Amino acid sequence: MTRVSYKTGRKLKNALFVSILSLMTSLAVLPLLSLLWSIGVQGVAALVGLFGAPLSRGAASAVLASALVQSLITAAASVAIAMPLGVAAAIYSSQYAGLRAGRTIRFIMDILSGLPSILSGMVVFVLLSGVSSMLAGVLALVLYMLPVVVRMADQVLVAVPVAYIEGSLALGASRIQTIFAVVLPTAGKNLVTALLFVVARMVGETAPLLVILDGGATFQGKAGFQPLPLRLYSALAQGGSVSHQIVYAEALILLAIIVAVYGLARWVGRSDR
Amino acid sequence: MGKALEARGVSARFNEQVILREVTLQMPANQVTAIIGPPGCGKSTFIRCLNRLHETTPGATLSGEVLLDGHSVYDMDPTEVRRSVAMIFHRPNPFPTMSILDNVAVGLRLHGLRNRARLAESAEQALRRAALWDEVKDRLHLYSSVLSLGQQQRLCIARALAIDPVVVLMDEPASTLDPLSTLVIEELIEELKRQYTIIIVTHNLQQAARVADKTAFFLDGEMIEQGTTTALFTTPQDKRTADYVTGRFG
Ligand SMILES: Nc1ncnc2c1ncn2[C@@H]1O[C@H](COP(=O)(O)OP(=O)(O)OP(=O)(O)O)[C@@H](O)[C@H]1O
Ligand SMILES: [Mg+2]
Repeated sequence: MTRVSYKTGRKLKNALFVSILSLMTSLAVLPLLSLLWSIGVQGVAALVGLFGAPLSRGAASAVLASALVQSLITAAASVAIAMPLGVAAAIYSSQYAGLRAGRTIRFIMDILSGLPSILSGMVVFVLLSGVSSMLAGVLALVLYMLPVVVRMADQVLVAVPVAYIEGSLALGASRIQTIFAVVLPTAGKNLVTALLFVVARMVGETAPLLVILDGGATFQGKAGFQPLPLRLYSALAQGGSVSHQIVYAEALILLAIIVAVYGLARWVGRSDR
Repeated sequence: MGKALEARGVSARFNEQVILREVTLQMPANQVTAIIGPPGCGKSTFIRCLNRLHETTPGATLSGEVLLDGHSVYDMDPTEVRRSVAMIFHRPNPFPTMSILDNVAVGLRLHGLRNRARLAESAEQALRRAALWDEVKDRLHLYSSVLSLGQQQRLCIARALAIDPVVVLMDEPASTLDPLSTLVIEELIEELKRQYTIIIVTHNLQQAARVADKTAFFLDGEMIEQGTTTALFTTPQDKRTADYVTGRFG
């Protein structure tokens, strides 16, 4: 008797717990899904509207295309600078620095990568006011990305088993030879995946860029330097039906780029290849 | 041919912790010297001092002398020392990103040999000496992970032999292997000592008795007793050695 009631009591508790969990999960996921859904539907409609009516709205689609190109150039340039620097620093912290120095570097990088990204924009703004916006934008993004790259790459490199490193050293290989022949190839896929995640995170980053731009131009939507996240921001600030359309089109493009980079990262990181 | 190795007053530390105290030991050319002792007594640390691998660990320091054929290895370039004094680790560690062939050839390649034919030839020779050639000759271009653990350990031996060392250090080379693979490795050691000086760390007293000409007993970072394997096992001079080899502790 007691045993049966104990069992049902437990079942009841279990069911209650599971339903609470599902409710919380839905609360977390549903708004996100609805956001994705509205961006998807309205974004497609907006793109069709903008690019389907060349005469009246050609200007809007041109702005959009130029924003896209600027986004890609800015991202590519900052990646090209931040990745080699960051990976080199991670090689140092994971392979050369002693235990204490390695810990210190990690601690500093953790703090830097935790700072609000708008700070890197401010730093560049203060240091370089007057430099062309694109260059300042690239620098701000590099500054923002660098600690994240160092930390991610360091994590991947530290995970390379010491057994392989010692196996190489025991063959009379130097440290540098060991890094290129054993450490980097062993880390390979994981390293590329980690770096792609950093790229995806950076593509949509607006804050560092907002600061360094000439405020007036940004908010009037006719600035020279306007990568996608910023275009999105300025179009929103503008109001009106065309700009409403632009916002959705831009959001969709941004989303597509980020999804593509994440997808690439997942594909590279798959273990069965 | 193998060359004699000699440790003189070798002490080793990790930060402030003393791991080895004044170890002096002669390891004659073309003989197998076994190092035995309970876990944590410093056997691995000792042989890692012999090829200067100890100093690559953060916080590791040492003092004393190691002589290879009369020349102090601590006066040589560490990479040169490790080319002459090869090492086999207790867990097989072939490079996972390389093929079987590349695993064996990588040492020579790192030392500047580029000629593909010469590389393949040296690799074959090393694989034959490690008694692995017949088992892998048809799949040289597969990843080393297709091999059994025992084969992987012999691959590591081939990788070490390919760069023509004079001494081979083995840190419990069969401790992760099944009895049959262990037997294969022991037979190989018997064969290899004609060309190389061999120092083997082992937990397995029967293994030491089977393969070693000379045995040294370590306890708590000190070398307690050394001698011919027969003498050490049958007429130990120190009570602690006697207790250990008769299985009363450790
Ligand atoms: N990287 C390290 N940092 C600090 N202490 C270490 C390190 N490696 C080993 N030690 C310590 O050094 C001592 C000797 O270790 P060592 O590996 O030489 O022993 P061993 O005789 O080979 O033991 P086993 O039979 O278990 O392999 C142990 O107390 C160990 O904890
Ligand atoms: Mg050991």
